[in-house]
Amino acid sequence: MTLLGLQWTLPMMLLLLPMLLLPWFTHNQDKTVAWSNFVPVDSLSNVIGIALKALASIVIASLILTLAGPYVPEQTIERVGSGAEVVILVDRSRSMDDPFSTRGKALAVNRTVGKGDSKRRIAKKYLMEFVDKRPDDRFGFVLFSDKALDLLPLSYNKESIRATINASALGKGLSETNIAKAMIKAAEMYGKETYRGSRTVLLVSDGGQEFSDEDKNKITELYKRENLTLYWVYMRSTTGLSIEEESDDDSWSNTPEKRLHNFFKDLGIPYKVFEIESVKSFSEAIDTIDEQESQTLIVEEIIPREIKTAPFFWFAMITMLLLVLAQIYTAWGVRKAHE
Amino acid sequence: MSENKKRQQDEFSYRYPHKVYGSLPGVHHGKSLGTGDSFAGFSDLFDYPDPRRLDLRATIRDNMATGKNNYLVKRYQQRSPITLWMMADLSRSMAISNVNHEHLANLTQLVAHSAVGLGDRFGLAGFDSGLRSDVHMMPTRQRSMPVIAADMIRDAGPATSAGVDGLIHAANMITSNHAIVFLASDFCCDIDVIDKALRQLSRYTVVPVVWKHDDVNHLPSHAGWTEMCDSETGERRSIWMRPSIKKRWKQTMDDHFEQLTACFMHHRVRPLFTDGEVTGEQLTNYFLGRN
Repeated sequence: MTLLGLQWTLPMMLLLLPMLLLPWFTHNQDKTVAWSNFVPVDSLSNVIGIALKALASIVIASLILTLAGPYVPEQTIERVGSGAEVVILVDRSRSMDDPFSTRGKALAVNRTVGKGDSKRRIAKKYLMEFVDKRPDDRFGFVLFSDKALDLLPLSYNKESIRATINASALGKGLSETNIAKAMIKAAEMYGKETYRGSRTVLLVSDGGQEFSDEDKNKITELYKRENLTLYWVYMRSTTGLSIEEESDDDSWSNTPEKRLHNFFKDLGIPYKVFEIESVKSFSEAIDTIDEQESQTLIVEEIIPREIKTAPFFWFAMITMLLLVLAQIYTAWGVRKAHE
Repeated sequence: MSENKKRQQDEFSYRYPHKVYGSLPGVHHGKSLGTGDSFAGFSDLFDYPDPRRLDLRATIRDNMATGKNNYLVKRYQQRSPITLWMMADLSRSMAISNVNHEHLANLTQLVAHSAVGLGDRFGLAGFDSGLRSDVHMMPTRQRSMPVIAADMIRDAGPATSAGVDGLIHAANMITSNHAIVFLASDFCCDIDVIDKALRQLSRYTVVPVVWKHDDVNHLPSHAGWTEMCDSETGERRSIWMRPSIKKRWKQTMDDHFEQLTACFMHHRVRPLFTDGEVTGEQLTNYFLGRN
């Protein structure tokens, strides 16, 4: 049942509402006077009299309304925000447990799982920051190794995306990597949704991979159809050459990373690669994405059921306080009259 | 009632200020000639053949002066009785807290007892918004009458409607030639009504017994929210008491009683103010002009 724009838990209680007429009919505080002609005619008294009765009615009404248990039901509202829908693809391969390599250093041998600046941890830290920075974004999360796990479908819930990112940084990495599957999964996640605004896939990985033709075709088709933007945060582990660098060296241009980069470039969708070789560059990359992805977006928000008794209680209490003050003053006056 | 019987009935003494004309003997100064103690002149023995009253000294003086040969006899004014009327206000305002029918009944019994004791007659006329036929008694000299009259008031039911308009009708009921009229009321009504009644009763000696209500019944509260119920009409008024209102209220009250006193003065009537039981001593003092 709806009243005053609120839902009521016990609408039957509203049947008690006629009780608010009680103050207008009770005369339990009557004083008999010998002759009322002595009583002065006073308009202020009339006003105060009506006001006090009205206040008493208000108290009764508020308390009854409180008993009836008003609440605003859970509802979804749409609002226009600025941001994007982002599916984060995080590589869960074992190489992500390595610390960042720096130019001139050999591949780190010690695989750190729980300590230090493993790439996974850096990625987690900055992804967290990214998520926190963008309140209106809708995030999805896919963790992949040889299988893509869509841990979190697209959601506005900041708590769950944070928890998912946190959880993704736990444990050891797995051996295999299958980027194609993850990318298809990400595109499929969008496929189920209606188009709201900027759609982004954020791929975080530290290696490339050669896709099969079948996968390539599928990815091309899907990404074009879903109108996606692709960011690749490439956490470089091998020292030396950058993806963008044109090199005559065949061995470099044939590396999976390079090929993947070329494939992405040829996809025909907005695409940008960020090569990360240090913590600093990671944060720069995240900032860049943050700046670029802020289109107008229709945001859907779920507002939980809200119990609205408090304002009624407050109203009743404040009104009652006034009445109590008036009563105390009156009691004092009557006592003085009988002295 | 039993308490009243045990206790010796209080009484008061009173004198009627004017001379009474009447054939019946009584205690008040009369105008008719007869057996009495106040000298009223001489008369010829042949006109008034009562040799016991012969005044020889006056006879000789008269004969020597006039040369006649008459016998003079002394004549006296006869004492006569009067009627005491009790006009009892039985309106609703007379039945709250300190002013109640019990006091009124006791006063009635006191007046009736004193009247019968002196050989005067006593009549009762109760009124509220109209005449109260259940509280009514034509003047009588019966010995049992005081208790009956008091019980009439004690057993009287509450007034059926508001007001004291019956005062005028009750005043019309009083037809005695010579009467002292006790008008017992709280006089919380229009001065006009009282004035009109006093005008009608101007032939008689009127003794207004003014019952004053407790202050609480006039001014039940000094501050705050007060809902008032008029004792007569039951009409409800509410008021937010504060010093200014209290002042106005008291002013209205004082004005009313001042006007009432002025009205009594105008009719040459001296009121007896009381707030509880009226005693015989009080009334005696009143008639002696001592209060």
